[in-house]
Amino acid sequence: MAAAAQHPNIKLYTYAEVTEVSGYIGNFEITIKQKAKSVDHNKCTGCGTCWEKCPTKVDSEFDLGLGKRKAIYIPFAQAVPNKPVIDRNTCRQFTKGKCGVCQKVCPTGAVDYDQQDEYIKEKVGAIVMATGYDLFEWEKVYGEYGYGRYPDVITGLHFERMASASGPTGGKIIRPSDGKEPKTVVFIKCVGSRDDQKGKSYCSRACCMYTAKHAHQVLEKIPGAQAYIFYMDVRTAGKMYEEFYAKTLEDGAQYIRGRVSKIYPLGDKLIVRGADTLAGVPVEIEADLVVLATAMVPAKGSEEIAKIVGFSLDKDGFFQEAHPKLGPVETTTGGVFLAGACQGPKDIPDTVAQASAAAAKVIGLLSKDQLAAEPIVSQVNEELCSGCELCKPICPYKAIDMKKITERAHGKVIERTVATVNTSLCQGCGACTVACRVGALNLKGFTNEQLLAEVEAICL
Amino acid sequence: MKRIGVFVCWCGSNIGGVVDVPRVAEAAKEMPNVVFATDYKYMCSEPGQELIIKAAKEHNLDRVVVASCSPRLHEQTFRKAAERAGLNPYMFEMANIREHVSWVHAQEKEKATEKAIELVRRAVFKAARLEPLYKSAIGITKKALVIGGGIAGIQAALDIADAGFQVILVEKEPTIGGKMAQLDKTFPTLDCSS
Amino acid sequence: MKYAYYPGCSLHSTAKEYDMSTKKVAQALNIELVEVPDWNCCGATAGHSTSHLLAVALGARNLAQAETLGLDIAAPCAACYQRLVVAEREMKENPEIREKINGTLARPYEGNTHTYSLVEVIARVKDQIENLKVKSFTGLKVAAYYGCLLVKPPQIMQFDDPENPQVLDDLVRATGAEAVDWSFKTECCGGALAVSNTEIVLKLTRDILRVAKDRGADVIVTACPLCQSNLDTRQEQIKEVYGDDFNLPILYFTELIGLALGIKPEELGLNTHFVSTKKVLEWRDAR
Repeated sequence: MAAAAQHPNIKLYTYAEVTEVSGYIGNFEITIKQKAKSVDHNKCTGCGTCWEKCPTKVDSEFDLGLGKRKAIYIPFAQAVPNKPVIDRNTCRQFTKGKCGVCQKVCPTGAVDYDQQDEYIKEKVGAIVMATGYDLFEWEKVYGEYGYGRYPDVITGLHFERMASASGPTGGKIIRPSDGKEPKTVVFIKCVGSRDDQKGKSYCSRACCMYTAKHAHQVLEKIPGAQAYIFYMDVRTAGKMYEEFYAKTLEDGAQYIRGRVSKIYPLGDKLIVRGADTLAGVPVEIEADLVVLATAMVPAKGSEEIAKIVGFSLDKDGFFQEAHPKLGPVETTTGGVFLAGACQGPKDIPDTVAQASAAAAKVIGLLSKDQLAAEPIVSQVNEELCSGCELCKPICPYKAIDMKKITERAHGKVIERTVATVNTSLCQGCGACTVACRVGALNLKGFTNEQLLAEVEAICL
Repeated sequence: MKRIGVFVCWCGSNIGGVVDVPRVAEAAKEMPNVVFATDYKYMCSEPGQELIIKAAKEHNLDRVVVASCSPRLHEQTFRKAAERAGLNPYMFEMANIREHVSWVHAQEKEKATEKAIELVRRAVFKAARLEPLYKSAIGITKKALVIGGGIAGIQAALDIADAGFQVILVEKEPTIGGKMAQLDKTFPTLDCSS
Repeated sequence: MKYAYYPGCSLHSTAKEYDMSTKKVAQALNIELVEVPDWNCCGATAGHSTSHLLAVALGARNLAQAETLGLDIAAPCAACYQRLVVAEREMKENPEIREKINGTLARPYEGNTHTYSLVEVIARVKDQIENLKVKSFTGLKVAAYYGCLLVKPPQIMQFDDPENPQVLDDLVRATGAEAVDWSFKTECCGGALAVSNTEIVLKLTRDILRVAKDRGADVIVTACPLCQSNLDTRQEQIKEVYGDDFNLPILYFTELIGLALGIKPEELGLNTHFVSTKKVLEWRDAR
């Protein structure tokens, strides 16, 4: 993280979003919306006085509500950049119009309540999408697990925050309800994954391994603890993965093959009801904490950003690669590449590998001085074009524009509108040629004349 | 007068096991504008391509038809062969007699051969109307945009930056790090995630 | 509001107090109930597990009979309600069955009469309960128990959330009582196994009672004669086998609403329960 911020070739925009992309491979024009941080980061030294003194406490998004943050905040101690922003939705200065504490205590005068959103334009030759994933919202559909009503039923990411030495519990695994150390922890895999009825049909790929890690951590951190894992399959395809799983078994984790049909509170315990399908018996476990391995789903806003940049999604809303084997980091839009879980669920080793692959593709592209553009593109016969504009909305690559031409007709000079194709954007799909009612559009290499000759060859 | 050469591929037994390949080549000789036609076991192989180049020169061909597999597989291969033979690479047309014929009509050999001949005729008719096309050159802005500052975005940005190119890294949260920064130790090596 | 009333066999036998309280409460809330003329068995339990066609035919005839009144059906019993909804759906979506059954019935079912559970019917006048109530159960903790038949199978019943329904809870709140949040609202009570496999029924009813008690419930309300019967009559036996002394009164939701509306306990059948309902009456009278 720090390496990225310090690299002389990397310009970092945090608290920012890409709002517009136009152009084509090698020549994109982008607009970045820099949301108002309400803090001048050039003046700010990151001393922390402001967030110490801020009177507003809200749930920390970074700690998934397990801890608190202030209205002026850095998400966590090692954040990059290590300088705060003001959350205007909760800050008293913005919600009530009075407070001003942070501005008063700031030794460098960096707090600026009047800062506005800024729009920055940049030109780039290639784009890497790395928008990641979010967790499946199990609370909305898994009624049998309590719809999120029981505080001691948490997700793997909550567990990570608790296990983290710099997290809200200082690395201690506790029950969120009463802060006690759990002695019996039940893990449930495939919550939302491989579940056509309530969730997604796909496997989220990382859960088998992180659940094994969590079980290992429970047994390591809590003396005398028990860890039960309900699973459908244990999938450990990866270097040193099976060995890691074997070690977790050796540590004493109890793997139970079967689904959990119900979790309910009884006293201060959670009763986990499930099936052991290998033994063929129903099982009931009195648990102190239940950890769900929830499915990975595309990050919120993926669909919007895909539309802005201009490429397609797969059936689950992940970014569609050009080809699963021959073009795994490319999209069908030239110059746009994919890295990480935005393309599909994957773990860290795979993410890093794919990110480097995408980087290699970008480096290969940017190393060239010029690009050879494929000549199979649409062309307009201006004499025939009536300027009806039917082709324009049909083009999936925004390659068709209208232009004015002047010409002489019956002794008069007249001006009229015709279509024009940006040959750099055109991908030669041919959609416009079919839409053109007067036959003014032709795809080079697949002209109407050539296609009719083919028909003649077969039919006559 | 156009001068078309037709090259029919066996693809080992992939096509040759179903389609009567020599008969297709013979039939091609009778098609308009065809001045040369032949068949070969693997047209995509080095000797196969040499065969095309040699025939193009000997028979003064100005366009080439290859009847073999899907263009997705070898269109680029044969365009390059045409170029090596001194032709414009777009003066080439392909007939797919594997995916479209032998693989789907393995039980009807006679009809398969007839269909292959039809598809070759289609390609020949189109080839007669081909015109040279030329690639154009476009410039490149030597800078990359990375959207998302999690582990994937950071890794990609660092790699590109290390290669000497400018990178713009955009993250919607107030910090980079993404989900990775929320994790404790990571499997299988259990090292920290910062 | 006017409905065709389909009491089913239970309300004429084991669940008389459900019948009594339903009629009293309906009257108090201005809901007119006209009994379906010459109604027959709904086809629950033994019927539908023997012959699908017969079970649908039984329901279809009841629907056809109600149709002669030009009214929708209000069904208090959850089992009847489920059978009638299934019959309605089959008659609508399966032309083969529809033709066969309508060809046999003296009067065909034309698809104009629809079935509602009594819970839904009364939920529509929930505001009336709040306006008309003379006694409030403020502070009484009530576990609303739906049983399985009202909500399952969810694709067909489309009644409420099958895991955590709220309709009955809302009616409980309308009486001023507190609806406890618990996880066994739609668990199986053992229903049909009551005679054939008592051991299983004992375990299932015990689980329900135990969780309700654990969540602090003073009383359970239900909308199903089978559930009421299992939960009410077996507490003594559970005490013998498991040693748990739950002493939880099991009321029909109409009984609780009736009490809130000031109707006399004996007119609601509160004296017919196995587990004494005195606790509820005392609570009411204390306020």
